[in-house]
Order: sequence, then structure tokens, then C-alpha cells
Amino acid sequence: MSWRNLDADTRAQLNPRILAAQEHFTLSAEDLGSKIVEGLKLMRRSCKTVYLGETDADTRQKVWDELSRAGYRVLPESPQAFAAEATVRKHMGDALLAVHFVGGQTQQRTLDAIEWSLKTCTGATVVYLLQDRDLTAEERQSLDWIEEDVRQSGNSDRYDRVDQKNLDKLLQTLRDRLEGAGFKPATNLGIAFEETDKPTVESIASEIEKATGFVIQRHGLGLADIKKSRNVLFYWGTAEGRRLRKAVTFSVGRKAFLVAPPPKPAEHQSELTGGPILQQQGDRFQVDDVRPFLKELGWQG
Amino acid sequence: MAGMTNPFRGLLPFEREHAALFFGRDKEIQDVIAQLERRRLLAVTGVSGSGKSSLVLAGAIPMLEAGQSERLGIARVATMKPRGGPLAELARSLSSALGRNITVETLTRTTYGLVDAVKPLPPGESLLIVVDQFEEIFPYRRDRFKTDAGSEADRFVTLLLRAAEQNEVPVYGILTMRSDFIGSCAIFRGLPEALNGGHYLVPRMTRHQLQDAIESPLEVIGASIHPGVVQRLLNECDDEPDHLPVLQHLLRRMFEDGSFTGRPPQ
Repeated sequence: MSWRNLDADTRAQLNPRILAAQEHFTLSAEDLGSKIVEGLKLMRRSCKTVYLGETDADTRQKVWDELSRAGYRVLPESPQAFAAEATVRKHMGDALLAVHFVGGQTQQRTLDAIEWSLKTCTGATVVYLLQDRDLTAEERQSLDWIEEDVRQSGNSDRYDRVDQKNLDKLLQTLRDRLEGAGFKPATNLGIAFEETDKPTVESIASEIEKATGFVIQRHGLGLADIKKSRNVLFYWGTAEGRRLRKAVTFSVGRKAFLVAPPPKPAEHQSELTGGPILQQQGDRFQVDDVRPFLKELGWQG
Repeated sequence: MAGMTNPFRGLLPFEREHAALFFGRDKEIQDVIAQLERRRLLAVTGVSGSGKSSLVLAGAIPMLEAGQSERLGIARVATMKPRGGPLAELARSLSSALGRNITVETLTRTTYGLVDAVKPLPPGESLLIVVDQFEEIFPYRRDRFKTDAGSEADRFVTLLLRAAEQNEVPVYGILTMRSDFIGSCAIFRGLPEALNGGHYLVPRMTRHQLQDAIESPLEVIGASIHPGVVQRLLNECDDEPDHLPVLQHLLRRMFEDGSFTGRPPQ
């Protein structure tokens, strides 16, 4: 039985440290086995992953953009994932930093998530208190307890609470935390493609990710993403290619074009300007096909 | 900053070719496209310097040309300004967009002359006519521009209205106009009714959007700006309704003066 199932009066009579210890023990027992396996598998990835908690879509998108642009992989990608406790915990275990939003629409699960991240996240936990949304008395109390636990367990250096009207302070805190952790942001590479080529691109992205450690963002034909991406690989396989060629004008960063079979008309290839055109050598993609471009982006392989 | 293209436009609007450097209006671009899909004729209005032309020219048009609207498909775009003669400019811009010669005579043969002149369009394509600075139309209502069929301005507006109300050919229209001229549109028969259904008033940029407009153009060309400077600029903009042109001008000058730092590629 979790301590949270106790009523408020009973909880008030118990020593918060005992409650915290009980919770910690339960979580540790549940997660120990899976954490060891997953931790080993994801050790490399954890250097560049940030857990971004639940809030309104607009706020989350702003912070997401900032972190992505700085080269970090942000999880979870889909808001639906917040309903899945196991997934949330797994993401936190992978993360270098965990960011949570508290206030108003906050559900108990956000407070749960803060506790988990204090326990499982390899780096700091940052809590952003949304100023225009009042906490309920219960939420306020829970947050106070969590912070009390942080102080008592000597983890204050791994915890930040930001109370601000705008996001600037939060973003600055995140930058400081991430830079202070001494991790070099990974190289971001976006892949632009038409829907028809999506299945192929998925395997290409995985192969490049595995070989280089780059963070690969699947832009599709999301022009806003293509604009903001400093490095873009335009993939043209079996798709008609017209929309892809139009999308090229949205990229002023470093770019290259990977042209795969079937052969494309020369007049269409001439529209691929601003970067090298790399031809896929075989029926199946090999990292060697794009090696010159990856080297240009700093890959040492 | 030697060798880098200045990503800021200063007092000039962003044009179609600057789409890759146009930031901070993602939501408004989507709003404009969504409204256009519903109404076919849309007036985008705002005070002078609010960025309405940039929003349409460097924001919505490139998206539509790239096929980002399911309803419009891939849009061929005819962009014009009324100055120089609205009918002649319309004929010129249509010829350029469709790659065939369209004359004023063809357009003015009937009130559906525009529709007749542009059909057929290839499957999956649409035609978008963008009349930038629509307020320039008003002088063309004077007597010296009148014929038996009415003034040049009346004939031009009628062509647009007829094209927007039919369903045979996918023709869409966007008018950008200073908001202080919106009342004057009532002098054209049918135009107020059309604009009541499709009108988008360009909102002021939020603090976050402004930050995006400052930082992202630098980001994509591999330069950066000190966060403290960004905050200072944003604070200065907070209470100024006409901050956008001033901010763009300042950024352009700052870039020329080498106030930003280059960054090694990641």
C-alpha cells in the first residue's frame, strides 16, 4: 500500500522521512531489475536525453524547441505517454535532466513524477511553478513535503524550483544545468522526406544514429522544423519528390541530398541546390552513402 | 560576421525568397492557411508595420507552394500590388504563375474572366492570388479610370469575388491591407460581405515569438547573440505597439556592426 493512499490526517502524524523511506524501498524493489538492464542499454543515450514533463501544449512546445535546438533528445515525445507510469519512469531513468511543470491542471501524477525523477534521473530535477495557476492545498502540501525530503536527504544541489511569470528564467536554468553537467550537446541532424519514404527513412535514421551517436530528428515535410534545423539530410527514394524539392528552399543550414533508386530525372535533381547530392550505391542504404556529409558534421568514424 | 548574409530585413518586409529566415509566426501562418481553406478569399489586415505582408509573403505563401495544405494541394501563386494598374498587374502575375500569356482583354471579357482565363489547372494544384497592399486599389475608382463597365478598381474586385465564389476551379485569394482601410472596402459591392467571412487581423507578437524572431535567424546561419542582449531587447519591446520594424532595423544594424558572434558548427 502506498503512503499516498493514507488520508491527510494519518499522513500528518507520520514522520515524513519514514514515508519517504517506505516509498523509496517500494520503488527500488520494483525497479531494480529492470533498471540494471535498461540502464546498461541506455547509458550512452542518457548523456543527451532530457525528460520534459506534462503541461499545456504551448509551454511544452517552447521548452521542447529550446532543448531540441541545443541538441538534446526530449522525452516523452507523445503526451499520451504521461498516462503510462512505466514509460514515464523509464524516460526519467534515461534522462540527464528532468523538467516538471506544477500548477492548476497538475494532477497527482506530476507530483509522483517529481519524486521519481529525484530518485532515478542521473542529473538534476527542475520544477517550474506556473504562476498563473494556483496549486490546490493538497498539491502545495505534497510539493512542500517533496522539497523537505530533498533538503533532508542532502540533494538540494540536484533540485531547482523556478517561480517565474515567463519561461526565460526556466530556460536559463536549464541551460546552466545542462552546461554545468559538462555534457557536450550531441549533433542534431534532421531528415526531410515525403510520407511515401517514411518506412525507409526510419531504418536509415536508426542506422545513422547507431553509427554516429547523432540525434536524428524525423522532420518529414514539417517546414517549420526544416527551417530551424542547422543540418538537414533530404532523402528522396520512391516518393514523387515534388514537395520535397519545394521544401529545400526552407533550409539555409548545412544540407545534403540522398537520392536512392529508382533513378530521378536530371531536371528534377537540378532543383536540389545548396548541398552535395549523394547517390545511394546499392538497393539498401549504407552509412557509407552519406559518410562525406556525416564527416562534415563532425563524425569521426 | 564577414561572409555571412544578414538574416534581418530591417525596415523592408520579408519576401517569398526569405521564407527560410522568417521566424516567430508559426501559429499565425497556420491560422491564415486554415481560414483560407474555409473561405477562399481572406483579408489579412493590421496596422502599418505589424508584419502582415511578411506573414503572407514569407510565411503562408511558401507553405502553400510547398503543398502544406491538403485542400489547396500545391498552390501556384500570383503575387501582385495594385499600383501600376490592378488589371494589368493581375494579368502579369497570372501569366507568371501559370506560365502562359494572359491578357487584360481575356480577363475582362466577362465577370468570370479570371476563372475562364486560368482553367484548367493541373490535378492537385490550385491558384492563389495575393494582392499585397490592397489599399492601393482605391485611387483606381476615380473617374479617369472609368469605362462603361465601371472603374478599373470595380472590375478588378468583381473578378476576384466571382473567382472566390465559384467551385469549378480552385482559385483562392489573399488581400493584405492596412486595417485603417477596412471600412473603405464598403464602397465595393459584395466585398464587405466577402470580407466578413474571411478576415484575419494580425496579432502582436508575443515575447516568445519575438525571441524566436531574434534568435532563430542567427541560429540557422551559425551565429549567436548573448542571452542578456536578447532579454534587453525584449524588455524594450514590451510596451511598444510598433516595435517590430524598429527591432528589425536595430537587429540589421547590429549584424552589420558585428554585434553577434559566429559559432563553430555543432
